[in-house]
Amino acid sequence: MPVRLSLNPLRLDGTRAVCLIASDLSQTKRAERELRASSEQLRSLAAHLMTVREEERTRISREVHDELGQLLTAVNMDLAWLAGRLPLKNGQMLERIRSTRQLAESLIQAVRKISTELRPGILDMGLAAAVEWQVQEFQARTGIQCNHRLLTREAFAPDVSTALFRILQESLTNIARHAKATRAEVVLQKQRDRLVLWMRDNDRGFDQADPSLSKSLGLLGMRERAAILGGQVNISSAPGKGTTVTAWIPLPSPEESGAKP
Amino acid sequence: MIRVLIVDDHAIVRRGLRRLLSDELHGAAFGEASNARQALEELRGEKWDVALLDITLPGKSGLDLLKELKAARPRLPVLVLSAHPEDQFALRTLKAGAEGYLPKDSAPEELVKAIRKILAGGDM
Repeated sequence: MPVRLSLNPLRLDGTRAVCLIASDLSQTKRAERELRASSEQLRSLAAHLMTVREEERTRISREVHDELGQLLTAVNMDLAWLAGRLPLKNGQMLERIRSTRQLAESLIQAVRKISTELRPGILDMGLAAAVEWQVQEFQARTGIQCNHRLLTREAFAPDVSTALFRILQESLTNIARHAKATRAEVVLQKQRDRLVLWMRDNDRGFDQADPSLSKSLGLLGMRERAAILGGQVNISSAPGKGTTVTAWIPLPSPEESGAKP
Repeated sequence: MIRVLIVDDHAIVRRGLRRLLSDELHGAAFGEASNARQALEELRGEKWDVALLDITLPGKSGLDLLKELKAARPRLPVLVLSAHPEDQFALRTLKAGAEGYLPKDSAPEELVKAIRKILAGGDM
């Protein structure tokens, strides 16, 4: 039985004495164990939900892009074929085909946008390509100058690539939404046994002791994504000093991944 | 006679391409493949002048297939058609040996122009 003992000196009618109190900690320990187990279950559930959500997004994104997008492409081709077969004297009909082609092209753009927002297809070309694309897209969208250095172009496991890519997206969203940054930098590097994504901006920074940070779901999500794969996200900032986000995920050893030395 | 191999997993896109190109490339002969295995079989059985290759195929990716096509027939010009307009796709495709890269939503006239250019021996 776990027990807590406390000794307190005291005086009773002028006599020095010691008071010994023994408390049974069984219930406290049991409650602590239950809390730990419940916390682990919640983390497993969060990890499972994140995986399921990512799989679902991938599936819907591919379905929308590959099925809907391809059908619209075929419609566009058929319209072009029709236009090519109509005599020039059918001006009204040709004009109608032209406007319908424009409509089909707008639909193709809309389908592509939905699909990319769910999951960019560029991730299939590897994390380096996806980082490069995301940085260019961010720069074009926000006007914030963003440099990138890709020190590895290796192919990594899809869950590792997706996790770091989503962390990058969240970090860039934070820069665009909260920071007053004019410059940012992204580095992707493979260290001996881990893959590291490092991001820095020149914003006004923030006080890391700010209690609202611990409630930020975006930051929590980034940390969870890395933690699920055994990695970490560290954020360092100070007022006037910009913000640095370092995310890393361990890579399987050559023996684990089955690669030959 | 020009012989064109169309590799795309969507029958409706293959049909659209074939129809469009039949009008533009008079007398051309077409072959079709819906996946990497069929494409490699077609390559073994016939002599093609140009291959139009979809970058997104079921199973083996179009990029992997491109490398195999180029290893088997280094002189066969390959024009990659892709539903992904991002530069990163194009760069990696061209590095893998394709003669051209064209987004699928390009105007059909652009497609015909690209094929003519490749058949004439030029890169895009």
